[in-house]
Amino acid sequence: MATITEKLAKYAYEMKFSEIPAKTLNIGKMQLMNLIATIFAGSKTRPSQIVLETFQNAGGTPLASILTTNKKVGLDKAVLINGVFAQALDYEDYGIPMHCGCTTVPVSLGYTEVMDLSGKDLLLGMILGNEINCRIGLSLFPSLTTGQTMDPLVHPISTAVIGAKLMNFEFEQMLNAIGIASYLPMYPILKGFFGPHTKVLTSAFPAQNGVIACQLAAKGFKGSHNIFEAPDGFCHLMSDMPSPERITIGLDAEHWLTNTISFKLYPGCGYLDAPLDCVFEILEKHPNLDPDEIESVKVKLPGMGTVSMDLSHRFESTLEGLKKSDSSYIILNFNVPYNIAAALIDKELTPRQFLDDRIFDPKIHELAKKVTVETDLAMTISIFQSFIPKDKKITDIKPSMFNELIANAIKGDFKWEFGSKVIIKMKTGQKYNASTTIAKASPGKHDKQFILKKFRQEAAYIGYDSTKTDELIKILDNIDQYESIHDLLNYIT
Amino acid sequence: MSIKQRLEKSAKMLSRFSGLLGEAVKLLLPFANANVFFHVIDGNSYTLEIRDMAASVSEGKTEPITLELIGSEEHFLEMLQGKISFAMAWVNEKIRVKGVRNNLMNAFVVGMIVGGMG
Repeated sequence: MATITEKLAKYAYEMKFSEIPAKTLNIGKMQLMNLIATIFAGSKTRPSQIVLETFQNAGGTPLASILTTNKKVGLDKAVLINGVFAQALDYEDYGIPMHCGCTTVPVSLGYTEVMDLSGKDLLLGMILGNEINCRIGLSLFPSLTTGQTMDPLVHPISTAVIGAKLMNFEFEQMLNAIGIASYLPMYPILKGFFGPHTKVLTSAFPAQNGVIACQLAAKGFKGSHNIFEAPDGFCHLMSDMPSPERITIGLDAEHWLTNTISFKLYPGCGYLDAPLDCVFEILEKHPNLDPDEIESVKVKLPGMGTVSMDLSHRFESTLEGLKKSDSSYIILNFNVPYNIAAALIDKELTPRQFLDDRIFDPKIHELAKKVTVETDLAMTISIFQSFIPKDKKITDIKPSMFNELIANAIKGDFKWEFGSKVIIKMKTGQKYNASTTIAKASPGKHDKQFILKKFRQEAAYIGYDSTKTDELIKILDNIDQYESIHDLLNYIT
Repeated sequence: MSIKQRLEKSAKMLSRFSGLLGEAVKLLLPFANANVFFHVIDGNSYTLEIRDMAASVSEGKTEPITLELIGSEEHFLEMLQGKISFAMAWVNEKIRVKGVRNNLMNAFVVGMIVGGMG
């Protein structure tokens, strides 16, 4: 009987671009556009600049582009540097149950460039990588490392699979690439994740390990072909509640976890999307809302959001804490009060709100003290509803149905019901409130106009004029028609 | 309100949470059956016994312990009164968890509920 590694390798080996449904392909194109915008923004941050300075002259044959620069380096270092740019502001995308594009896009771009492949190959690599990430991630769920902290466990594997696919490996080489990469996870340490620059390495360094795994497999290096389900294997060591069988559920051309991807319209952890949508809805209706006249702001979130925020709730999030020698803007990517306050004062929440002049502005921190965050039970339960068919109640669900629910959810019209409510009380007693059940760029909405707006915003941030941006958008919209991605690279390097 | 009274209130909350979600809760929460030991270093300790997500409180330590939270009476009360979440109490070293790697996720979920989610 085939092992899970063998089934996964067969799936990756046989996947064809023509089998990807139009809906999934569109999400893939949105992911590409969103990720390039994210890289534009992230490339300007201090940790990104340090990584660039450190590795831009690294040895090896310079075959792959560092985006936003006119430089090339070896593929492993391009994946590392572009991956850091992609995750520097926590501004990319996430699927169920982890981040995806921060690795799958830079890795696919790198291999497509180095192998001189087409736009279709680029999208195939990305979407295959998303599927591998989410499937392996689900096999570890629930675990302490759910979400972005799951990336360093899984991203070496998705990277190796993308590489093996785009390098047109033989089946045996694909198996070895998975086996080797599964031996190279990195375990996230929360103390280094919440605050210091180290967090930007979360996906990028593991992705580099995946490139190395692929290089070794190409030469005949062997990895385990039974790495996932074995009692001393990957899943059992990485999770207290492992479900390796989930890796292969609905492993066909009908089930696409890429469809679960949410795009971030604001820098910061995913639970900030819905409350910031609410804040901007209020500001759209009341553009002259005076932040000096605010008495209090109440933010309601699902429990998953508040637990994540509380984990980051250290004194580094305060004005004084940010001055600590190992602290940085990164801690604020998790802090609801700072982000809400900055949005209300600046009327925007972009990479600019994470520059020194904004993060050390006492006015933002004073308003942040007026922001309280509450866990909302109904919103917490709504997250469960994301996976439950309309004809069933939550109390009908049995634990044994989980895998079936996941399979059905990703086959149908999956909606990610991670909502929020924001209530602003003014000193006059006037109240403004807004609520949402699904963030603007999450499954269930996936509104491309917001991705386009973000793309234009970040292209302008790094100095592109509107003509150049429009031409780039045209290429991205039609990337599957291009026999080579050199035109794209000319615009983004 | 004492720690015991607070825990009894939390036990009711836990049962309510379970009532709303039914067995679905077991999909995601590994502590559906568990003994959570609140090890109060300067006062009486308690065990929150959870059976099929219905909870009750008893004094002392009831074996087998699934999860042990350790802290002072003041810090436990802060958490149980919802003044500070479990996650914040943990990162700020007010409450410790025995066997961090294996128990931390359970602790977050228990902490979220006993801390007064609602």
